[in-house]
Amino acid sequence: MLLTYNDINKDVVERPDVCIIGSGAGGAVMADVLSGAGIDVVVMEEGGYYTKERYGTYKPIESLKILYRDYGSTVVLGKTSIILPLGRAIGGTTVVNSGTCFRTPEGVLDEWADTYGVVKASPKDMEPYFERVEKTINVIPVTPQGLGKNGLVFKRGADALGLSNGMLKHNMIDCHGCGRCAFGCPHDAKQAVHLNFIPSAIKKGARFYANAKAETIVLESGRVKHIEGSIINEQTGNRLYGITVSPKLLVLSAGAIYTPYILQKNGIKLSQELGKNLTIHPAARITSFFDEIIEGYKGVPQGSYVDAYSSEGIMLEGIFVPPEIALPVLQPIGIEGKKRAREYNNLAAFGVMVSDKNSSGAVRPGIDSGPLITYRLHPYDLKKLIKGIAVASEIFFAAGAKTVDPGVHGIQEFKSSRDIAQLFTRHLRTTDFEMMAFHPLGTARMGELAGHTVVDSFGKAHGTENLFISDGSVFPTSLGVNPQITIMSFSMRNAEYIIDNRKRFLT
Amino acid sequence: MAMKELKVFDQKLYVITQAIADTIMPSGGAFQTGANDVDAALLFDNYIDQFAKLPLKFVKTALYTIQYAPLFTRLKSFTGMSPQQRLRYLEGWEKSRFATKRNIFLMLKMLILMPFYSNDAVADTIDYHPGCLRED
Ligand SMILES: Cc1cc2nc3c(=O)[nH]c(=O)nc-3n(C[C@H](O)[C@H](O)[C@H](O)COP(=O)(O)OP(=O)(O)OC[C@H]3O[C@@H](n4cnc5c(N)ncnc54)[C@H](O)[C@@H]3O)c2cc1C
Ligand code: SF4
Repeated sequence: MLLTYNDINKDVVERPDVCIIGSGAGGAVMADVLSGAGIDVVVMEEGGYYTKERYGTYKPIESLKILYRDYGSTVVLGKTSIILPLGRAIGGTTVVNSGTCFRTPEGVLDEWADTYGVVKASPKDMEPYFERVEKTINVIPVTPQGLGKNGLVFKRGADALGLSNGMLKHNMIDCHGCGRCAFGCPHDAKQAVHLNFIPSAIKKGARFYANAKAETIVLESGRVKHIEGSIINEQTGNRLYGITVSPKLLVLSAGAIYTPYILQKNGIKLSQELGKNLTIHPAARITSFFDEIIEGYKGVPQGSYVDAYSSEGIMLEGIFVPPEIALPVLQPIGIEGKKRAREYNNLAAFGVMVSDKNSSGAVRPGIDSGPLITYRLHPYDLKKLIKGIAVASEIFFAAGAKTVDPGVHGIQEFKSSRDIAQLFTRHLRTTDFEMMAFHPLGTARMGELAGHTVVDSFGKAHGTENLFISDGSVFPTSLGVNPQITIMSFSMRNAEYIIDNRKRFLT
Repeated sequence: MAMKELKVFDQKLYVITQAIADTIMPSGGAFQTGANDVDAALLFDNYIDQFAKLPLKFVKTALYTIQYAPLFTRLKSFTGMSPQQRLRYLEGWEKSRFATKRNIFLMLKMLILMPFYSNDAVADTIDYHPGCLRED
């Protein structure tokens, strides 16, 4: 059963075995696996329920307004402001993500075991979960035909320089290459979790409440008693009815920003590490103009990668966005700026993401109605970002670009590869870089070292009896790759742990 | 006129926004359509109608700051300047060494231009015709 605010006409009261807050990568998988074991599950999701019949007709800026939180402009404060878009819908951020799929790198799993005492999460332990998740969401490599010209010119440049590159894997079936993954796939080719895990959970009896915002968690003597929230009118944002859920066990899957925020707002501290250790996998975009027509909006926007420097924590992955998102950033003001806009069809773009091993941030209760998110980019990680921007610029020139814009304040667009040296010779500050981030993790990290971690190796919150966390918050370090497969696979594993210990947790 | 359809701004803010939008995206040049040809100020107002309180305050404060800050340095408000003066003044924001000042303007510019470029007539003028690699 999936109910939205339209289907509800009175206060809701539920007494399931398990309540899950959030229906994204973590929550959807948890709901499916638990309900498959005959466990009675209720999911509260603040966002609405959208299908391709709805988001397929949205313009990109409408998708930002409807499918994302804060119009896709959640801000991370620090020396420089970084935009951190977060999805808000049945299916969470998977509805609007780019669909790129990576397993957790083996070295990262080993580090979690060695440094944080995470148990039973070795590459061998995780293998069956990766396989099951990948099968359910149909992970396949993008084909060169599906890449589109934006990816192809970058590949041409990388090949010319002899840099290791390849096609990314995506969760998709029958992709049409319409370049709209981040705004809701109009063909439902991208296999976000509202197309697989969620319908499967519903078939097995799980009850999903869309437009249901969890607000209060009542925890007494280490036990969650109930959760109170509101059914929200999606059009007006007004509260319509109350919802009270009294479960035997609560799983928080509200994502790495809102999971710690809900707990903090309710005065539930769990550990001094709660809300800390935020990693975001900071990203920069490099754009370039060609004489040839690129029409970069045709094709899978994030179809290919260059991993020549991945051992240094630098990944280059495709990006492309429609003009209403790209041009407001790229075009200078006035008549002159309009020339740039006229060349949109000749534009190519690529992204650089750096593994933030040294940087970190925090989530705190803010002064208004949302969390205060802060982040400090370590100079060492900034150096990696600069190197990534330089490599991407070289690749564009090797592919035949006329100009390259490194997206750095105070540096004019490069006219030839000789200009790239400025990135290293000029004194650049963090504030000179335009950054975004898409992968918040780490704010309730897992491990067996109580005091240093918030939850145990299976997501159970230290010091509580019936509270689990299963989403991006639990990962102790940056992954260096896109996280959805990691989040889904760990959620599957955590769900099985709950099932194996149902006597302890569910009676 | 447009006043009837405004959801967020009053007439005063609407006029300030029109002047800023026109400076960012004037008519003519590489393509004819400019901000005021499609009433970008109204599109902007309608787009942000569901902003939370804090970002809405930010937008209004930014608009008023741009309008009245030059009173102290140039003895004129933004709307009281000539088009050339407005352009130079806003370029000062866009290229400012002070990241906060620059970012405030860039955010505002982004919010004004997003609904502008989302307009079908504008998309047409830059030859943007969204479509798929495979059209079946
Ligand atoms: C534009 C973009 C592109 C991305 N591309 C990729 C990619 O290609 N590959 C990849 O691996 N990752 C990608 N990601 C990241 C990936 O999608 C996320 O890391 C992942 O979905 C996070 O899963 P989660 O379960 O932690 O949270 P989410 O999927 O964000 O789910 C959390 C859910 O909780 C809900 N919620 C929050 N608070 C409450 C509350 N109080 N009450 C009820 N519900 C609540 C939210 O509305 C949301 O739906 C991308 C992200 C973005 C923004
Ligand atoms: S490129 Fe288009 S069809 Fe393919 S997954 Fe993305 S949005 Fe869907």
